[in-house]
Amino acid sequence: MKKTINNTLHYLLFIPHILFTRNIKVYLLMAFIFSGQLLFNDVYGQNIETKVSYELKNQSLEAGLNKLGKVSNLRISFVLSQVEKYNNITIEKGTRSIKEILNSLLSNTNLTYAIKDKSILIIAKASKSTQTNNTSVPVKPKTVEGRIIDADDRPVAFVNVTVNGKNKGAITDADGNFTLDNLVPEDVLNISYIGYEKREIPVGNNAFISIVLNEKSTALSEVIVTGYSTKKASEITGSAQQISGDVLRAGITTTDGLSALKGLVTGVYIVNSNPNPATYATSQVRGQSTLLGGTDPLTGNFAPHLLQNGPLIVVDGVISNFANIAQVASMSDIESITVLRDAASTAIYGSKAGAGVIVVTTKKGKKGETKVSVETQLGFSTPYVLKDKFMTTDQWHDYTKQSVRYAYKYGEGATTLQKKYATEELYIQNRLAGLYSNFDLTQNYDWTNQSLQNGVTKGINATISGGNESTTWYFGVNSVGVDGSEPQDKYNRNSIRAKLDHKLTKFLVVGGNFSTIFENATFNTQRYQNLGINYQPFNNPYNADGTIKTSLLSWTGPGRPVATKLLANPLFDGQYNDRKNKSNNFSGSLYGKVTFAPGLTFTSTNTWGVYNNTQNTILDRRTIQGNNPLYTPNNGMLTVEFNNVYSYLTSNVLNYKHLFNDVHSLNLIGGQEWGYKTIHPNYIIRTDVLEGERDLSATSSSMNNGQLVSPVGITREKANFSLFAQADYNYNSRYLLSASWRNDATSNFSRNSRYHSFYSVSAGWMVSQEKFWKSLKDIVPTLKLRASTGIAGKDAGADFLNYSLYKKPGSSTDYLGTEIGQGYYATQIANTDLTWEITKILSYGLDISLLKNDRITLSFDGYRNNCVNLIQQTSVSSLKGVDMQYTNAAYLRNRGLELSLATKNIDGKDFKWQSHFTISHNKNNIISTVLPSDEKGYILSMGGYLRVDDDINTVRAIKYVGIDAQTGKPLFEKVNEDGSITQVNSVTEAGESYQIIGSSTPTVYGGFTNNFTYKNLELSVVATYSFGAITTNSFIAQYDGTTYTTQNLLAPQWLTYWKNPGDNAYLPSPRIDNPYGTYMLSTSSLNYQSADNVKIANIRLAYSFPKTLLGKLKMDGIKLYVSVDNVYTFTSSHYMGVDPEQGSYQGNGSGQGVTGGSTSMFSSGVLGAPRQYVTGLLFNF
Amino acid sequence: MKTKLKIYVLLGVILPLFIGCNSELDDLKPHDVLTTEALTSTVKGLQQLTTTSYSMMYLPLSVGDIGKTGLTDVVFNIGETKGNTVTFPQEFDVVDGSVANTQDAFYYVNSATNTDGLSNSAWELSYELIVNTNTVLEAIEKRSDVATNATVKELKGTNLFLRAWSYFNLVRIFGRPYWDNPDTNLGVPLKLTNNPNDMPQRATVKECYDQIIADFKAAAELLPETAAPNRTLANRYAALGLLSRVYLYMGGSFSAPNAASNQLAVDAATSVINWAGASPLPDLDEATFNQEPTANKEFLWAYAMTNIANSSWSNVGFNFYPYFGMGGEIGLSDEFLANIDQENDKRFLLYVGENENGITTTLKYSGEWGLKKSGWGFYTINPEPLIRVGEVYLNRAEAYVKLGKNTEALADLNAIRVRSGLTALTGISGQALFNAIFEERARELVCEGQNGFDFFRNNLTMTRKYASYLPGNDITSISPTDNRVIMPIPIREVNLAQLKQNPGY
Repeated sequence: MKKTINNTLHYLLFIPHILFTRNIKVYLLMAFIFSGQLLFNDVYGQNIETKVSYELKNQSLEAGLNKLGKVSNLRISFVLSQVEKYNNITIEKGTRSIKEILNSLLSNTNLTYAIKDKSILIIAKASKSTQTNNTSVPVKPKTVEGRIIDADDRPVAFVNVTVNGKNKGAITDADGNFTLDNLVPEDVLNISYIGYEKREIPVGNNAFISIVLNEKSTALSEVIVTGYSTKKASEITGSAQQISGDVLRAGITTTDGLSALKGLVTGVYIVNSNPNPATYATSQVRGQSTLLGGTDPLTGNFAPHLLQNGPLIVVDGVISNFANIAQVASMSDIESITVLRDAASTAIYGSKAGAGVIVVTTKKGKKGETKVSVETQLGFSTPYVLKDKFMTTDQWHDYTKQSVRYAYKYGEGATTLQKKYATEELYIQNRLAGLYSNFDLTQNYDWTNQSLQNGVTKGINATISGGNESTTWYFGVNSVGVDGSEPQDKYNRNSIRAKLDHKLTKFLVVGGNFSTIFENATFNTQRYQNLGINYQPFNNPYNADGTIKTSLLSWTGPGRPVATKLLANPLFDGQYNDRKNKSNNFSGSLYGKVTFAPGLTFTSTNTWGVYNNTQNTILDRRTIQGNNPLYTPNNGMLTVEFNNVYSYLTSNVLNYKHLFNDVHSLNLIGGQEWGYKTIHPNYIIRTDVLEGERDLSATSSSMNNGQLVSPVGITREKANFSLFAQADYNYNSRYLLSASWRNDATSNFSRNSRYHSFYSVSAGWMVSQEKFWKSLKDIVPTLKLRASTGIAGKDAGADFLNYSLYKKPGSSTDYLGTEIGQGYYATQIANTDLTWEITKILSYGLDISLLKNDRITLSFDGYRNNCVNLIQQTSVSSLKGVDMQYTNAAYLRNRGLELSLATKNIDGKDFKWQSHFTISHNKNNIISTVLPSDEKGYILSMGGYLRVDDDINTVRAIKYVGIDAQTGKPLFEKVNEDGSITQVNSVTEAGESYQIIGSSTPTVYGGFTNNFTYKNLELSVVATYSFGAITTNSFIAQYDGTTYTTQNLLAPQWLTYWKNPGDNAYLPSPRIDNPYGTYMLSTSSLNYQSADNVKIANIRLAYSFPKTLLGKLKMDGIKLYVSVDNVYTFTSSHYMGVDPEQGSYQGNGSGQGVTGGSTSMFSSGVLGAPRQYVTGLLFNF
Repeated sequence: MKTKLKIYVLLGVILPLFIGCNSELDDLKPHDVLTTEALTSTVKGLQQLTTTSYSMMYLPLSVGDIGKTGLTDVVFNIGETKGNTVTFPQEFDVVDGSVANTQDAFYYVNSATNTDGLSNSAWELSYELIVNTNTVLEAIEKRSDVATNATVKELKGTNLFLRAWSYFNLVRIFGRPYWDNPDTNLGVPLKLTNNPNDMPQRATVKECYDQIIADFKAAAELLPETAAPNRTLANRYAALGLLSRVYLYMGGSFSAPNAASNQLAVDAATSVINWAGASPLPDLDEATFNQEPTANKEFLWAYAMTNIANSSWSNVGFNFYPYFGMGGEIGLSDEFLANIDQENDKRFLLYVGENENGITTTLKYSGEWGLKKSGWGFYTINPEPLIRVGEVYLNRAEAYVKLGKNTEALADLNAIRVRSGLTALTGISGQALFNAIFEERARELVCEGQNGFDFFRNNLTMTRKYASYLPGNDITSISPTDNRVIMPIPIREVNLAQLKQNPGY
């Protein structure tokens, strides 16, 4: 690489190409930059000395000015009525300066010109008298003309211009012009228009007044970041919803932006009920759009067990590698979050947008004074736990005895037993001998209440920003520490973001955006929340002298030798064992924006990302978990996992924006992206580890329980190449059209099926801008209709699914000790036809605001998404060599409705009350799938079935009717071949009588937020809700199959069971002779319960110190607040845990969290996210 | 003009970025896995793939197979549970409720559902192994060094050997016995390539046997001639030993024998018996399963367990594992116990014992040597015999008696009897001698996956006198013409490969 370029900034800007593209490209780019500087240095601007070629033949002044505007690329504004009287002007062909031409054009008129901002204004020559108006001579009344334009230089029609104190006024015409006569310089014009900020302009000496109206920040005038472009809400044709960072931060105290979004946005189902502070929320936009599995964004693994169907996350225009906002931006740095839900908004992201897009925009500096903002938070949390509902030792003992008694009295072998044992008590003594000889039933330890802890939350955020004409800058620092409800659970997060924008020359802006996030989390190695279930109350973890027992015995059931199973004492093991998870996420973007001509820009954004994650798990040799004496001694076990991701993305976008004839607004975008990612997951397990040692080199053995454990290390590469274009057109902000196209190529698929085009077309109609709407304007200030259609996709699958691949088995024992080991086995056979998953989107909506001041704003959306070509791992004939293969097989459909309603209920001077209500409904259907014949019950993620017409998360189970009060046996519904139903006593007898009993995804969900302000006091209440889903009931599962128990159960006052004939109980009698068949209850509807819930997610009271006080302190604001999170969860009366959403899928995105993966389907709901009390102090100065 | 120029320059800069992207994406290859081409282009790679075939015998490796039992286990299971020497004791602790009767090979498809039964596993695992051997064989076909490179030669022999072994298992599980119209009855599809789109229909039973014999014969030629250094790998005498069994299966019943096949069985067996590596017949005490298999003279080919193999619980030993709740579902039948001289037969002392639950079961797979070697302390890794000298003697004895050579038959039978501590039989011939050989086979080869095939290949009705845990407990007698003598073609294969189902299913 020859260093031919001296300009360091240019050099830096294009480093990506130097490093990652071919040399030829680099040279061309260098040439481009270099020549660009020469070519464009003196062109741009309003330099009226610039010479242009110009000619006018006997034409009107109007035509002449228009022509000049065209050849000079300058905006020339004039009032038609002033200009149209001048005609027949001729200017010889020639090259002259703009100034000369203007002078010639205006030479015989009473007009002159002025330069304002980027425009030339043609105005009337001022009279002598007004130039001396500061004398005491009374001035002559005069006529003032003016033009009203918006921030984008577009004329604003129908604006009311009044004169203060005079009964006088005018309304602007279609071109934004107005005329007022009989004015004096002291007059003040009052301009007001719905949706715009009011302005008062003194007339002064001006004969022509150009007024720029700024739109009021209302729902529809807000600028919305839609990825590659920003638009005003009123111009959006798709379905996009933006939430500002301030609103997010006024909700629950969290480090995860996604958790904070819950209830605020429609169409996004968000769950984070995990008690662990280091787990992130999971989300789904407009229903499940892919089948089982997806690509783990970090490891690149195609992971069938991971429901990675969350949206794509884009940060400051850069596609991220992460599925969680917490991993890309800190809460305090977020300016806004936009959720893009339909084709019009997402198709531009093509292959990655099939499941929606979340655009995160971080704060940036603004021109002006340096602003400092500091926020401190301090709080504590209490476990939100199911208390006092488990059996005591006596209750547990009664239950177990009942299971034995039943066999003796009523069981199939009762007569034999009664012959063998004279009394019931003798038989009980015999069966439970192991219990009585090994355990002290006088003990009664409450595992649930005593194993959890209160947590502490600490946080500091500081941001400093500012800027001048050429440079703006922003620094944000964020530090948060949270302790969880479970012992050892700790989360610590520190982040820094720096942003810098510098206007290097008139045509070139360069900037950088750098972010580092450090996360340290400690996880316990046992689920304390489940101790109440897993440990019986008589199993006291303490010795009589108060010391902690090193291990516990486990009750393995009647007739079993108790001591064959040693149980870890979590209180003992917890002292030594934990998992430490450290991740560092660095991301740096450099960008350059070149303006070639007004409206024509080229932006190159080049981003490098490095993500390092290390997990260090120690199971200490002193603990049972680390060294169970019943097995081959491990002497402690250390697991170290590393995961590194290096990524690079260059995004080059050309943008052309133009307003034709003041009414035709056109915005064109064309661009290209090249992304490359290498992923290195590695892990090592070692045993024979010294006490407390966490370094690999301090270990000595690779044998785990006598098995060889080999290190695993993988390098994966992935690349994407994309071309895209977008065109937006609107006529006078009234008729809106938009189209986008993207072509993606990915290394996931074979050469032939690697490319795919994604597109969208959308339209909007701003009805309220129509003339006929004028009379309704006061009642319905805005009404917009919009519709869009298009396709987005998903490059689901990874690992080169188009190749036949062989792999070494994970465990690596030799066959006969040869060096060859177990050889290589085929993991997949090639499917060269495999291609993208496609989401075909049809979406429509309307936005409406009612009454003055937008008292009521409502957005309604409807959609139908057809998700086709979904990749499924399907059975193939074994004759092919393997029995599974990835194919584009399934087809899902999502339909839904969304409503967002914001109201200003009370809008008084001192007291204000605002509400925001959202509701979303989604209905999913399986249209087609491979293997419809596998019609077992259970939900899909539990390894169940897929059946056409069902919801993807439909639960089919054998219906549980209740119990037979006389016999204590359960009753299930058996569906006979003729469709009739008979009641049977076991699921085995019921056979395959699976009936639909519900779905594990809700039919409606949303939020309801209320804000009350009284003077400086603010109170907000955030509630979320979800209805219509069912979830597994793991308390019931404890009663499953083997109907005696080796665990603890809900106490009989909450969950009754049958004891004697005539008892009306919820559950059948426990039976040691278990005649109901294995998995008796897990396949029945008894194992499911309603997940309906309403959560008071947050209550917050804030006080802003009065301005008078702040003035003295030279501060802009001080705010003190008290906030309570997870205040209360109302559940269906049938629900037995504390938080039904615990049973929903939750992961932390990387699938590595304690509850990551689908196993959390079985999460018990014993422990919800903690109730958190936080006080905060916010300073702005 | 300048504006236009700017745009040209811009386009000139941007456009090159779009060129050559396909090749850049093509440059990316998977790192942690190998493609077929990469693997089969080297001898080392072919060795790796061949080892995979061995591995597949006990450890299902393919994506859909995780959690399934290994192939040898499946074959042993089917062979044994269709027979009359084992039973499923129901004396389990009722609380655990794991009733093993669904493993009985006559329980429809010997599992609770018709998609994941043993027949399904046998099919899937066998074809995965077969396609894997085909991959190696196809790659070797393209090489020119088979004659000159001893390693390649052995690899070719090994893969033919393993393919023949797999097809033999398949045809005896899914195809009617050979005496029953082998020209028209259907065996299994003969897939002889690794092409995923090559999806043959079922060949006849005869075509299958022809292929098996061709492969074993070719293997016997290619595999090392010298004494097998390692009796846990494919070798010439294992191929000949298995050939003696294959021919025996073709040899018809005692009343309707096929002389040609029986003679071929005798010839194959004789070449094994005369081989220095197998003669004289090893003493039973030396030939126990409870020792390192690689040099055990009793074994022609045994599947060696390693720690991992046993830890997967996917092997034969697992079924006879002595600890409750972790295998041990199979006990020895009353008929077997009545058929064996519990006083004098050394095999009773060596191979039969009680497990933890008081179930009389075999100790073939749970001796102390294996216990120690596994390192687990509670279950062992004794080898699984796939062909051994004792069986070859009995194969020859049976073939002789079917050829009418009673003296020779009796001599072979007595060789086995005497080494087991029993007295030599004298003065019997014909049907009585055949019966004695048949009973001896049940004793000698118990729990080696043979008894279920032995009845029906001999066109014999099997009568179970002990309680069966079949639905309704009603089946005590299975005629050799019963549809259930062979297993159903797995439903998924019938659907996905449009294969013809066996009658009665």
